[in-house]
Amino acid sequence: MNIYEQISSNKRKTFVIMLGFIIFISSLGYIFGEVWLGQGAGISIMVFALIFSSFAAFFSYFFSDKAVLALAHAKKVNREASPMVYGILENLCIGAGIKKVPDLYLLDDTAINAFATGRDPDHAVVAVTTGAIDRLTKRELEAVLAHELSHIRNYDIRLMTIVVVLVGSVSIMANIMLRSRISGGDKKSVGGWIVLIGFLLALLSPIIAQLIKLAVSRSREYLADASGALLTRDPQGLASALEKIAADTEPLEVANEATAHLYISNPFKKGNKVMFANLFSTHPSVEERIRRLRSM
Amino acid sequence: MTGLLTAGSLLLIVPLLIVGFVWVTYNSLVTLRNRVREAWSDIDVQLKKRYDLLPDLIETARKATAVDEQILTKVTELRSRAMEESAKGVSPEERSKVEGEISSMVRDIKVQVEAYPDIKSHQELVNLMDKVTEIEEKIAYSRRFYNGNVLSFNTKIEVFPNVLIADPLGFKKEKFFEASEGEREDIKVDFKN
Repeated sequence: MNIYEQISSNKRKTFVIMLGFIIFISSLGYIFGEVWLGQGAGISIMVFALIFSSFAAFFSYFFSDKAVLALAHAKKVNREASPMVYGILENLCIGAGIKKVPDLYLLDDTAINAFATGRDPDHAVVAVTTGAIDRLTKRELEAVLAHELSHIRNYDIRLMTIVVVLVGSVSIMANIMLRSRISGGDKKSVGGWIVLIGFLLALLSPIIAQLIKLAVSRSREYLADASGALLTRDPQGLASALEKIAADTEPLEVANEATAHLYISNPFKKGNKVMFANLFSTHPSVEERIRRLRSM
Repeated sequence: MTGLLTAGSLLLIVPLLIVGFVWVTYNSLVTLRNRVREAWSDIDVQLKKRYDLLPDLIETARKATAVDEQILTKVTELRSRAMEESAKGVSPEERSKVEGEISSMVRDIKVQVEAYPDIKSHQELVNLMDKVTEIEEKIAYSRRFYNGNVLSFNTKIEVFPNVLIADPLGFKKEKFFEASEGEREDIKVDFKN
């Protein structure tokens, strides 16, 4: 897949995910209306859910980057505050033909990591940890930022960021429903429906996992590695940055399940939420990425 | 009767297809050529910034008597030649020769400044040098973007069947803006850690 196919595929997937979210929430609303409020109430709840989910999807299209940055406790910096990083970013933008230099945000964390977010190249943000700035060489930092700029150019950011917010809100809702079922004292409920909802909830988690996988296929990371390396003309730089990241045992405190796939490298380190990391594996193994970069 | 119809519709469809092909190809070639020109103006912006910075650098280096007078005279001369070419709108290929020479002269100056850390106004020189280096990096990146665009444009007019109509429509191959030797090595400074 080349970059242009990747861009249109990303835009298409974003649309499908937003649509899927609306349909999913609406039908969920219908079922719950039928179960808890009795026959006929399903439709009115569904209309409510439809309006609510459309609004949520619309909101997340425009504001999910802000939500992600707030989740990560990222702070915006200007050229004066961080001239070296800003200069690198500016250079890379010239090389990539990106007219507007993305906003630069810092994460106050000693772990080495970075991510990009936003909805298109004109509304994009690159965030790096202070650990990355302190511990990577200029060459390695340049490679990491080039990788992030590739995500911006490919419209990966739009898809990945919307996934964070939509999938996150589905899983919150699933949690609430699961609890209300367990502690549910609603004796007049129809037995058959309860079983069905039980199944539905049991099905939810793998669906969410599947959604994330759909959005963040491994090829996306490989492509960003490759086009980042093309931008800097220096695949070895990214390889050595990834090596440093892999050797780093420090987890990124501000990362969570919803935002994990945004980062250049899995923010959970060994011994920390291993179960989750293995189940979803949003990132291809660093070893494989390094191997591919070394052979370029 | 049906044979006549088929022949008639063919007579209609084939020219339509050809017109459609020429139309689409022409438009995409214009788009690509405009991208090349835009990318070239990006390089030009950076080169002009360098013209603005060079007199300061030369003046300071001369006062500090840290750098060979010969080099400084040469850079001054090259700068005015480059500015002349820029004003005349000389082709990127031509421009890259003089600009490349300036780049390598700037590197020579840098080496000499670094060799004598105790000369007067050393810090001032280093600061100026940093600014020039920053612009050199930007020139390198904008050159890369420009060359990338030239490559896709040239490929587009050389592939079949575009090659048949590119020349008659007035599309000529664009020239690359070549890097001077050793420029890449100079940008990657810290290999060690």
